Amino acid sequence: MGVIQQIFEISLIGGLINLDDVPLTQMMISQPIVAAPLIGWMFGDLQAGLVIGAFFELLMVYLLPIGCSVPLDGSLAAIIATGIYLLVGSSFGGQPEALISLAILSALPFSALAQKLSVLVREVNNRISDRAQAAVLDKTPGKIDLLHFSGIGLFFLRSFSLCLISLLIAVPIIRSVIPFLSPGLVHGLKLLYFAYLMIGIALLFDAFRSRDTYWLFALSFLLATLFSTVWPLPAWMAFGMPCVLVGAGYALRERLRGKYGCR
Amino acid sequence: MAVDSGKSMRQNAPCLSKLDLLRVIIRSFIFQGSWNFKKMQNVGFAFSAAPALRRLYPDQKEQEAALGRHLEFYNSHPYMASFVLGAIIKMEERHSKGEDIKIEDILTFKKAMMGPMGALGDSFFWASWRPFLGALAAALALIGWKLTPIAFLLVYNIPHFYIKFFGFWQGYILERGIVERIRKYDLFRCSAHLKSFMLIILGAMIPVVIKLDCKPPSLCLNLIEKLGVVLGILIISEFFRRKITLTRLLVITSSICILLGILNILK
Repeated sequence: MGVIQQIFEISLIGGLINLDDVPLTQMMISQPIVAAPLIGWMFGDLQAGLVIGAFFELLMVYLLPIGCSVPLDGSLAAIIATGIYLLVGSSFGGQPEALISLAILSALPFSALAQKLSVLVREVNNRISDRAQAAVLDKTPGKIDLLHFSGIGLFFLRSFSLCLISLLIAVPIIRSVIPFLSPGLVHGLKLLYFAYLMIGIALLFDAFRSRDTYWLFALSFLLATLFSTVWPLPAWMAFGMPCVLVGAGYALRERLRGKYGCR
Repeated sequence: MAVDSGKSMRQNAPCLSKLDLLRVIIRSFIFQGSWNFKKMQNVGFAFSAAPALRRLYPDQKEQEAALGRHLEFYNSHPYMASFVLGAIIKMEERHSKGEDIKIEDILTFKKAMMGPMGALGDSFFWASWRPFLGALAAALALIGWKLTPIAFLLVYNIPHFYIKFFGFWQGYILERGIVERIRKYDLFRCSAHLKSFMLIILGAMIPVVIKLDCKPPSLCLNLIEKLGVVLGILIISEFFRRKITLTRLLVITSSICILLGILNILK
């Protein structure tokens, strides 16, 4: 399968998935943690999709679409990053961490561009709103359905075209640059992999912390550290056990608080 | 646009079937199809309510007036709007039968519910439920659980579908009483608990996912270094507290990491 054909297919599927972000259903299929693995699975690398999706999920999940605000488009960026990873992977060799951070780094500017295009689409939708009102006055209220669907079509066009253009630009550039990357730069990209992870966790920690609940964070961290280093357990157990233990402790405390009113 | 005909009780006024209501619910999944800055979800509201309004007002003029009044400004949370949509459809049904309910009452109720439903939905779904499940799913994905996306979708959509279907139905049955029912859900308290559970997940996630291969080319972290990672996270979160934007922080971090790599520092 040619690269151009793959880019077209990724863009088409990406555009359809991205519809879920605002205009269609909002079942969260467009969330990075679903969209990126879906693209990865369809094009032969589920694991890479999972990791890229997890990174974008952590980085973008707390950018809230409240009121008029249009946040960075993490969903489309995750799709583009997965596309870059899949289409560039073969020419990079066995450095998945470095390639993942390179793919994320390359896709991040497009999340800002997607945000600008979303604003543009919503401005065009102003006309749809005006036309819907005019349709009622013109005694053709049946047009409302068509106008509403045209808004969905417009959003698809925005996502599809941005995905297509970004992949058409980024993939050849990255492919041609890779042979010239020094080992130092590759190591820098590996560092970036962990930096992204830390920024994602820090972003959520900042959003959710409060004086009352610091101890929950500290306790689960200490338990998970014990279970992963001092008494090494499988990763899912090292993660799951502190969550269950501290979570149960917190739930019990809240129950007692509610029952006895103690502070 | 709002014309109250003040009609008396109609004996042969059309009733809404369950199929009509189902069509409204299905259409409400495209509530934000033409979201715009001017009147936000106005077209979405009218589009969702259209099957019911067309059934209730067979007369062309009344139908146009009904669709027209629901094309006014509307902005709420796309899931929570289902409660309001159900209640409004019921009120329109009663109005079409000539019961003692004025169009002004319908529009006032719609406007009054718009803000609180938006705040409640934003606070619970956007600011708590989605980040909580997102962080949990990210941790599970980084651990390598391949079914994470499916599990995320299934769990996330339980309250979503509950509100879309049962919320709409409750709105339709309870009408104005829906306010009391929503209060019973106590979503703000749920949000507060989810935020606490979120911190537990974040704390447990760090030592497990920032655990590198411990093979020569990779970094290998011992306990002290893991505490260093936590310190790093606390410092970065302080940056966010000081209103440094995510974009700026990503640019700065990317530049620093690449520079450190090129200069062979931290190797």
